[in-house]
Amino acid sequence: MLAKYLLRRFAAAIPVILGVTILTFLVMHATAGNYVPGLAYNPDLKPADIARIKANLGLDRPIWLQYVTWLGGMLHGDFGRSLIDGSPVMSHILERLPNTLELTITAILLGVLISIPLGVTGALRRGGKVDNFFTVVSTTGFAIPQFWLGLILILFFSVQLHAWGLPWLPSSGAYAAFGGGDPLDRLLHLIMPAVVLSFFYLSVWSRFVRSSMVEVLSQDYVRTARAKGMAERRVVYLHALRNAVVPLVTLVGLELPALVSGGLVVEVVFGWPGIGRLLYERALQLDYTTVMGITTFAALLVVLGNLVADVLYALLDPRIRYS
Amino acid sequence: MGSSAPDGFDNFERFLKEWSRRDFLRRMGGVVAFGAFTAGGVEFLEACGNGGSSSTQNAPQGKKGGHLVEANISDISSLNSVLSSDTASSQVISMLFEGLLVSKPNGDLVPGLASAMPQVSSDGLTYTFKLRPNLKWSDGQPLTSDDVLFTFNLMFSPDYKDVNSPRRSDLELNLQSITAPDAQTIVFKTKTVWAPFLALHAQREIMPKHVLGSLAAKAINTADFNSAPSASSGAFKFVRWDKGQQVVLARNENYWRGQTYLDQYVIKVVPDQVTLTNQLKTGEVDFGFVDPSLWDSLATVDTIDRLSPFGVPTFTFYAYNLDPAKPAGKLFADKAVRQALLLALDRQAMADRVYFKQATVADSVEPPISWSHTSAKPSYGFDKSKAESMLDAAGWAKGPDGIRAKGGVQMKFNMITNQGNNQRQSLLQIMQQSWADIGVSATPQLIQFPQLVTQITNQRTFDVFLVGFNFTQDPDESQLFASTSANPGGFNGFLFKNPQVDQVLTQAASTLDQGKRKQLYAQFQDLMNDQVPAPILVFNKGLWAVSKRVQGINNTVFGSYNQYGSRSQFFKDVWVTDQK
Amino acid sequence: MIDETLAKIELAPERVAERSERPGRSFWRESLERLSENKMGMAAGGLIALLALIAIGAPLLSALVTHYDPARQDLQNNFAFPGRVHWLGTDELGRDTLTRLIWGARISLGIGFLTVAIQLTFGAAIGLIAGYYGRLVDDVLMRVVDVVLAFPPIFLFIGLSILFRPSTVTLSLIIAFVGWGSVARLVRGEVLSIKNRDFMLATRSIGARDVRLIVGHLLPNSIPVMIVAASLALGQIILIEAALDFLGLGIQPPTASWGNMLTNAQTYFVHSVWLVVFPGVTIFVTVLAANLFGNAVRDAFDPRLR
Repeated sequence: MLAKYLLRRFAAAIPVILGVTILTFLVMHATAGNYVPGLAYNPDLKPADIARIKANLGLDRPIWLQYVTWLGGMLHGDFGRSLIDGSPVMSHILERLPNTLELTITAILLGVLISIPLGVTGALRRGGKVDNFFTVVSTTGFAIPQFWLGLILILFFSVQLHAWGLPWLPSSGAYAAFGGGDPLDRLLHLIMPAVVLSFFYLSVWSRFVRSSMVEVLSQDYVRTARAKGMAERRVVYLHALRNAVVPLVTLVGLELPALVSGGLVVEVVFGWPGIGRLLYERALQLDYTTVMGITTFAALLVVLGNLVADVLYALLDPRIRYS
Repeated sequence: MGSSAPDGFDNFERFLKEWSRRDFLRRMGGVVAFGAFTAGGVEFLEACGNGGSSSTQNAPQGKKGGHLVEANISDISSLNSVLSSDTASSQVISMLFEGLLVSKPNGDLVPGLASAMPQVSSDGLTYTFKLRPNLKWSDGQPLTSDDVLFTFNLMFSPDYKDVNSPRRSDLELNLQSITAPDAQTIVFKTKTVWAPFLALHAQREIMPKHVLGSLAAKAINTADFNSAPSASSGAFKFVRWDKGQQVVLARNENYWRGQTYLDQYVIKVVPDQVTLTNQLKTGEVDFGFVDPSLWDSLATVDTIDRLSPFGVPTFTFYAYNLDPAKPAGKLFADKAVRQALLLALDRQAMADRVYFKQATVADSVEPPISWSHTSAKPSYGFDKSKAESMLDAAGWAKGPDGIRAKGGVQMKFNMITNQGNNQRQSLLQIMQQSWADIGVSATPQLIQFPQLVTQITNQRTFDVFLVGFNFTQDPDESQLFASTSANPGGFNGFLFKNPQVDQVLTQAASTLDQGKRKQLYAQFQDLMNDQVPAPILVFNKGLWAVSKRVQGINNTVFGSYNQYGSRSQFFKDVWVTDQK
Repeated sequence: MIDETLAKIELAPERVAERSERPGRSFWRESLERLSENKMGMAAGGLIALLALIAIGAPLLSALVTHYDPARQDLQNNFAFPGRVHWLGTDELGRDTLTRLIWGARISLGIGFLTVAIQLTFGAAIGLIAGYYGRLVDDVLMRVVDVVLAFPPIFLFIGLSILFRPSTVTLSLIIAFVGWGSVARLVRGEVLSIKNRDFMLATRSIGARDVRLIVGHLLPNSIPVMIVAASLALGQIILIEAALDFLGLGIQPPTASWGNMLTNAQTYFVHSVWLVVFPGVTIFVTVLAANLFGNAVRDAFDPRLR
């Protein structure tokens, strides 16, 4: 039953991916007509050169032909080459993807690690000072523009701390330009972007952990355990927490698509060499092939994520399954 | 970070190319030099060519070892000089390679890989270059005229038409032939007397034939060499490129001027100007261009030296759509209207407030640092009442809603510029306000850069556009103002067609006589100031800051015409005090 | 974005099973009562209402209170410190910050409300139709939703903002376009789970027409889900709009939006740190209030408490 369901969903995913690629293609081509990506706006360029380069790149062929050629390549695993620097799109993606994953996974981990104790404490001491503090923190995280938070952190932890002669954090990049690359250096560069990114997650998840925990704590079996005389600690951590946290896993799983593009603003603010920032920069420069490659890749991940979520959801409620 | 949108094509009025038109004739005076050519020959040329400062001998003794980090807000795209056209790439290319000639900061052309300035035939059509003896690539291979021939053939020979070089049509149009009679000699023949030739093309960095020569034309566009050059002839050699982050270079032991003091040079990509300045302060970065808005804030940082601001041939201008078929064309057809609108702009306030005093109000279409520059007449200050009376006199009376109208047509139009450039954004809004104050309704629109370029060069759907442009050292401005550039795809998107201007421009590019050219360009500038189809608002300045630990980067070796090119020449003598 | 993830989990199916008919009048009354008892929520809601009033009354306020036009430049007075002449200082072109914040409310709140409205309306419509008719209609519609949701949103924003110059209306449409899919999915899920209830079969068997069923029964039953999903939407959309401004894809100057004021200010913060503080705090406070009110609404209308 489940297998059939999965197969159906998988088959349904293919037109989705195709739809994404076609839409991307159309949007890119609808934007600027004779523009050849990568050529600077400078006096060197003569119209004849632009036309010739355009023809060399195959940009003067009919749109449907360009799309079909790209699609054919894609089915062979060849995403083509960037129109701006000529490097294979796949190599761009593979080079930048680990950086993005480093950032988003760290942020997710931070989010989970902070939201659990925060949510649990809030649930255990409902209405108390900690709980109120917790509400403030979680709703705050939801309300701050990411780029503003990033700037403020940079201003303080990078510029101000340095001005005071204290240890300071670097303000851009994944590692130092010279003499960097060691784990400590990478960690220092990772701290601020990961914190900014995780702020959002931990607001959502801590709320969730709290309400989930509150609910579980009022369940019968918890009351039974308490009545049996089990130590409060065991009650909380052994039974309640486990059950409260399991649905959190589902939530985290739903973030799978965001692993690739969710950190975009943070990547731009901190100059993080990730895929989100690459997509943003190249889309603005109309580097069609790179953009197609990244959006297809991201769409594949989204579809995968949805599949995972659907499976989990279906496991929770058999009635929702497709009949 | 407002300006973070990567405007990789010209960032904040970045100066693109380093070509100089200041050739050796200037020092002698045109007529005398011309006579000397026919009489004196090679020896005379060599004396002239080497009369300028030759960098190696004058350099102070420095200490070997250490690294330098420079920053740029764009990443490079290609390290092949034949293919690339953006500033960020040029910068690094000039650290890795050299051309036959290189530029001095003031624009003078001096020998690079060539042993002397070229010998020019009496009819002005043949240029003979001699290479320095015993030149070697960083991988040990000899650098000969084969490499030079190969490089230029990539941009000229029909065999290499599939190579995506943006310089082909210029060479095809003007060059007759290139030959290499022996391993040390290259001969260029032009079709007609072509004054801009040396400035535009003789600085092109030479590419290695032994690496690229075996590739088919199409394959050269995507060669690995372009992102990882395996052989270089400049001060540094390539180590690695971490895409989106930095390019790392190391000393080239085979550089003909001698070995650099620096062990390593890194150019780092930063997200925006604010971060660049922050990193100059924290020391993460040693050297970089500074945004005018942040220039003053670096004055008090005691770990940094600011170079004296110098003029650059970059300018910011706006253009009126002169196409009679377009509605805006009808508004701007009258010269008096164009002049009046310019008079209504307080350009000094723009230079002071938008550029924080780091820009010069333009008094002509040639940059003040150019040898061709004159203070053209008529001149335009800020005169609001004169502007108003000129518009009244031209028949544009203020209507009941305050907007001027003539014959039922209101003076209403839109103005476009690209998103992501703070200065242009501010300028456009100031223009809107200034013109609103005299009854003209101008609406600013910020659009994405590719959109802007397409609308200017192809669709021509604009009323007024505002943009920055980097001209070469050669005063020839046909790309913008000749009627031939008004064809689809050309930069004369505002369709300015003036036979007098055309004639002057053609004449000035067809003679090598500096004195004659200067006269012609003086005429040109007066004509342009009278017609003002595309008034220039300001000329920009180069603002650079360098860490105190760096020695050897100063206003003597670095300036207007070698910001982003010809860098190997002086970087050889740059050293750091801590040798780290 | 509509908070699909939270809604999905908080409406775990076993709780839905208990409902058997449309929310009665007492549900609404009780919910509203619960809402009004939530002091913090009501205060937050009041703040939003106040901001909305300020936004509507912007022309009046700038004429009578601040005496500045939001576009009036004063180059000689740029980067002015907050003081008596300019209560919150001026920006890089000498324009009054307070006035621009007031007018910016029109943009930011306007886009916020409009986007929520479009998203809810369109998304619910699609979700209802897909859920009700099922089979082919459902398949097709949900594939479309999948395509929309599979896009990295940033790409759509870039592409669309190049194609259509950003204005209040186009931005609302663009943001709504990226987000309606979640609403559709949620509503469809609701519809699917109550479609086969007894009362539905009964109503159908007496010959009620489709439209009547959809609008009269399915829609009201879906409203609580929509409310829950939409409760945090306003705040999120304001943040999205600000992020779009930061990326250069949103409202362009000279029109003032909180996001583009903040973005501009970041470049000039060495000249005036106030330029960064005021729009940032404004966005923060507004989104916070929207979130608090949204939380209160959700707590009050939680279908589990019926």
